Amino acid sequence: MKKMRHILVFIANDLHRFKRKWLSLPLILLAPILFTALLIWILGNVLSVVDEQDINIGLVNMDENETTDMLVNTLADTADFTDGIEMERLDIDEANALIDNNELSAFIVFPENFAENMMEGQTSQLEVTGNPDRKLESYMIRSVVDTLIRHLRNSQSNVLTVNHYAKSFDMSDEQREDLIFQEFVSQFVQVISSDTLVDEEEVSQNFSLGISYFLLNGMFILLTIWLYLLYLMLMKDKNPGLSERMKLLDVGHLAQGISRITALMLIMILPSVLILMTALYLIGNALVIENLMRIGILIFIHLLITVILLLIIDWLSKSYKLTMILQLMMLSLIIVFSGAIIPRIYFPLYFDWIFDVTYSYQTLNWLQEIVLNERFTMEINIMLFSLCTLLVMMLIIGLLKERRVS
Amino acid sequence: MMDMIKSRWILLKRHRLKLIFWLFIPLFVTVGAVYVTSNVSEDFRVPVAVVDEADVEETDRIIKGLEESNYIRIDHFESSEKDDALRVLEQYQYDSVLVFGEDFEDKILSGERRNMVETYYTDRSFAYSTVKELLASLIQESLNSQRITEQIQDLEMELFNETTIESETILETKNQIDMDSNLVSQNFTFKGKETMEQNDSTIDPWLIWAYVSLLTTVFIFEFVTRETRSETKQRFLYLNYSFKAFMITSFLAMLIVMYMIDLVTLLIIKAMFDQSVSIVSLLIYRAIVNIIVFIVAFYSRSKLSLYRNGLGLIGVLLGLHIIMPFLNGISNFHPVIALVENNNNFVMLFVTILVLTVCLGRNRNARS
Repeated sequence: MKKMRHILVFIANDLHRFKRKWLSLPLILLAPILFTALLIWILGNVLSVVDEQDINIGLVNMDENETTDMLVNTLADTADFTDGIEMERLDIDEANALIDNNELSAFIVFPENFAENMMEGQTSQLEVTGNPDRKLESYMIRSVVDTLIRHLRNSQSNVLTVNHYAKSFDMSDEQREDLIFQEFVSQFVQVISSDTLVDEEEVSQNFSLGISYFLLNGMFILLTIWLYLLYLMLMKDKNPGLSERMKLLDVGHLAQGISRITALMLIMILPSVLILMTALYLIGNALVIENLMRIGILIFIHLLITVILLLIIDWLSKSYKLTMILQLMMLSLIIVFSGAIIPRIYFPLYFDWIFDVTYSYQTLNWLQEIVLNERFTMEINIMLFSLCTLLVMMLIIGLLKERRVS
Repeated sequence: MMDMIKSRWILLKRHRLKLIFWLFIPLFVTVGAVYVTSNVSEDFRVPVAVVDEADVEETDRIIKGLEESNYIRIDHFESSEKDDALRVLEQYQYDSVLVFGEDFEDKILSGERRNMVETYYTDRSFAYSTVKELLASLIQESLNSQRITEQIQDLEMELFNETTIESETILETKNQIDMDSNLVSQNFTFKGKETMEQNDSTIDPWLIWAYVSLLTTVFIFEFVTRETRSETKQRFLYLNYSFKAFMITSFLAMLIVMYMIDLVTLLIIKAMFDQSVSIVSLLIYRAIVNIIVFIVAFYSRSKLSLYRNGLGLIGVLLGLHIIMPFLNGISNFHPVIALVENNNNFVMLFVTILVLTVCLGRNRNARS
């Protein structure tokens, strides 16, 4: 039938145009891969508990009081303050030199009269200087110091209360200072050993590396973005002369739409399979054929729905600018509400219903269940519903656009 | 000169509404986006389940302390529902589960510091360590209150062989001292740079403005592509002014118009959000962006091609921006980062001007 021939012609045309542009393909497709890979690697490092490179913190004591001295020494000697952090005692010049040489992550300065101020109830400020070339570590250090300070503040009131009552008991100054000293030290030791306060246990039904989660999400986002990049590549300049001739020859709008979709899906097969294989290989979970088929179906329907959405937006807006802006907005909503960037549970409660109706959330969710949690089922109700709705919309809009001629 | 500017205005008059729209959109989008994100971002919370098997005043106080933090959302579970909570955690629906055992109060009284609370987390618990820290400091408070009363009373017993001071009095004194003093704080700086204290929950409006204005500049400069690829360009051969001179004048005129709008934007954003950048950085950013977009527009084959290239440019810059902080690298070469960090990067400006001159000078003999 004539329509079928038209569609085949257009598909051939699109594939041909694509072949002509294939040189720019590696540039377009590889860049996001590199970017995503880099990001995943970074995220994996940041969020994993075991950090290979130790963070070095310098401790500089400007106070001559022996309490502070003792404090700083205890801190420096305690190896296990937090995993992966090493503290060492330095003087101010050494610390500055080491930071300049990028051998130190940060240093903490205990100011003059630190101990004296503490005992008298005056405020002291710890100066923390970070290494500008190790910004990420510095932020972690900042939060470690924050914790230290929070604990110190907790214990300060104890120390001061002891001080208060000791004074009221008319203790000799020497005795009182001794007492304060002891209290201070024991508070400090408590702070350092606060890791034993809770009995922690990791619970998970996940049988793969922690980084697999990010790999899967990254792959998902990558596929969606690639689809859009390919769509952009195949967008045509609107040539009024050509459109007139096509209308005269009774070539349908719908036919062009269907062929565009088919061409894109065909082109996406190779890159999708490649990246899927890579991701699955890196994740390391062996999957049975049945599950591989499930994954294939999930990804196929997801890409199909996305491309139909892109097409509908293209049809509905007259100018390229509007099309691009709307398509970008829609894509970001699809990605954000799939839970790929921030998981669903962290969203405000008033957004929760959106996840129940978004097809991309269903796709990603079941992908995660099958690949990471060894499930053998999937639900695709939302996806199928969205697919049917969008197909109907596409039909209606396509036919309406054709009607416009007569 | 004035002739050229007048002609430019005549050519653009047809599109003046669109122009005004794209010129002012960055401001509106920035204001809107910051408003929305600052309101919504507070509602993003970490879901934590709590099982209170002890049900005493201390646990109530600690749980309340957790609830009052602005980034945690607590779901309460009965002691009999502990397994349910753990099961929901296994399905990754909670960030962590905290269980206060029946013997919690005993542990506080005895001053035992080990294993006060059972915590459960998963390999996807992003906020677990933060929540744990808060929990630890809350527990520490309880332990301290217990300890101080014992200590003072023991001290009195040792010195005077009697206990007259009541526990409540001691605690009251302690709370009073707590409120009155603030013994330690930290001041964090990077070596060699000024501190920029920024509220973490609100996004920097200039970040949004930078990228949106990049996009709108691409849309505004479509006239460059349109005219460079038109056939009427040939007529310039017979005119007093060359096409290039005309384009450069148009460019400068647009630059001045955009500068004025940018200054207005600066005033408004400073007034509304109290976040400003230095005027010099702003002017440099605008100049660099305009030059880059002009070059892209000049060499694009069509409007669609221009939009694609523009989008590609924005994509690359965005990508680099996200990776920059982790690479400790060339943050000086990224215009948006330079703007947000107030680096007055004259080098980048001169380089771009140089590139522009080279590009325009290249075709001196072939076309004008």
